[in-house]
Amino acid sequence: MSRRRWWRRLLGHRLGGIGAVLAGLLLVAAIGAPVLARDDPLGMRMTEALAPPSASHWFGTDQFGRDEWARVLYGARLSLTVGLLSMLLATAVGIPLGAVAGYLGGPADAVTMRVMDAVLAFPAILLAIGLVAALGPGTGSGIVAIGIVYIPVLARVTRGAVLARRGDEYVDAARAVGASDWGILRRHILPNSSAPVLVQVTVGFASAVVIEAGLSFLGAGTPPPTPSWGSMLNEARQFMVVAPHVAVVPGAAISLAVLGINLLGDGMRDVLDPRLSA
Amino acid sequence: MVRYLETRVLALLLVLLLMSVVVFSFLHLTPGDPVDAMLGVEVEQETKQGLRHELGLDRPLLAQYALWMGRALRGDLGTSIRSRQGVSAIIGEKLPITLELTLAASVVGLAIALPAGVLAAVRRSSTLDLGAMGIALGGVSIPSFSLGVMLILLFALHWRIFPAIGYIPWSRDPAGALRHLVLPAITLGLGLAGALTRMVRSGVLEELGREYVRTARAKGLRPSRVITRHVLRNALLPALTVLGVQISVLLGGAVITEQIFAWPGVGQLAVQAVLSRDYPVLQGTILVIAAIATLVQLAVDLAYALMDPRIRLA
Repeated sequence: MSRRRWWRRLLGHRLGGIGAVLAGLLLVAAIGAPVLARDDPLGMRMTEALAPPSASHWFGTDQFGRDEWARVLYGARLSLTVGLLSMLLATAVGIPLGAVAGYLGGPADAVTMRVMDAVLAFPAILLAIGLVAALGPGTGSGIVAIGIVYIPVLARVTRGAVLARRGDEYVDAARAVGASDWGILRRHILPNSSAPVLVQVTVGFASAVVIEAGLSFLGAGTPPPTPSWGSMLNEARQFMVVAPHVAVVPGAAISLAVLGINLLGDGMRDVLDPRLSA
Repeated sequence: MVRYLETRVLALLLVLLLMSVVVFSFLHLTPGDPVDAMLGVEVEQETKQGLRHELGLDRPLLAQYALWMGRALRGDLGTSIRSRQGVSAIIGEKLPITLELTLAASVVGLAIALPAGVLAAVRRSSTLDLGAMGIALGGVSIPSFSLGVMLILLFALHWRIFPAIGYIPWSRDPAGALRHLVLPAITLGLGLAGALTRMVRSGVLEELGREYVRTARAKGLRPSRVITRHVLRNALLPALTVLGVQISVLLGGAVITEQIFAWPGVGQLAVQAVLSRDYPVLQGTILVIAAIATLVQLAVDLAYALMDPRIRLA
């Protein structure tokens, strides 16, 4: 399927289209934060603390008088960075692991997959918490922890896709003309296995955003004053009786971002691989 | 069935063993000296040496693991370096509180997902279907901390129907216990409801297309009876496997939900352990929660096998 047709079908897919638009907005917010924000996300003005939304502060201000609109935009930047880097780590390790395990089969496959099973058996957020505790709190640890949590997910999907393709005729043909194992895997099997992997990366991206916000919410993620949706929501709990907007703004931002990426993932699943859709 | 049971139990033991290695390694992933991380740099050398010896850190790595695992198998998960209480005792006290929450959340999830999934499938492509799927998607997408905070904002602070936070044991005040349980259970259960609704819907849809449904209808059975007597039985099996996986998600979600609602279970214990760098408590909690998740998964898979003659008789 050509790339243009692919995009047109995704946008034509009702929910997938909404997802693409929401995810697009997230991207715009993250990249354009310095331009779109009309205020410094870290600039405190105690006289304006907990002000409700107004013309000068579209989303109001927080307990330190910081502009919530600016903080939400920069929070998007953080969420997207964590999502991107953690998925990069997970794919960089998970895809080769899964591909080699699936292609070789036998003991290499069995050993790799049992280890992956053990990591997968942990509730994701709990494993992330444990890893962050070990590595020391911070955004970097969060990225590594989320990446590690997702390695087995991607390894398993890649392995499944490779197994499904391994017996295809073009693989036999490539082998017959003398292609090496590595060449077959890289040039023939992996490109044809990309659909389910791509869908899984998208879904994983949404989870990464949730886990990052969750870690920050628990106080084990990005430390203040850096704006993270999770820590914004956590701090807001003390003030939400007098200023509900400080809780609603980051809460809505996380929910819309995750909803958008999930819808995009569902849409991609339908468009790329109709066999997988429920 | 015996063969199936054997392979499953063996695989489970292997997974549990590997999990224990992962949990054990948490302490050793710490950059620098883990004892410094726990106690701070300013503490006297003697105190540090004492803790090092207590945790077995002065031995070779393999011996450390053997020591830790040997104690864990006998039910001894070490001592909290903050409260000096036994970790197993603390977990034993807090685990029922977490299980109460997860059980209530499962009830919420099933109570929403079963009717919503069936109705969405029966009235496929109707507004009802779209609405049910919309709610399912919301349930999956809205993170528990967002949802929990919003529920507190609306139902506790604005309308004052339920208490915002806290836990009351059933033995002390059943009515109060129930009132405190509602918001956390909904917060944790809605995600489950979302995932299950989609499974129930697709399960029912698949069964509705089968021959036996046509036969049942042809012999004049009422549509509601076709669903309850015939379709549901077959449609719920795949949903059951999802429930097994979801228990793990639920136990993870409890960590956050407990933090939002000041619910004194093992989830809150884990978070406090992270923040106070109490590694023995953290390792013990994570190991116990993960082991429970794995055992429940096995139990669900076995139940599935028992109900499905294709596996039971194989």
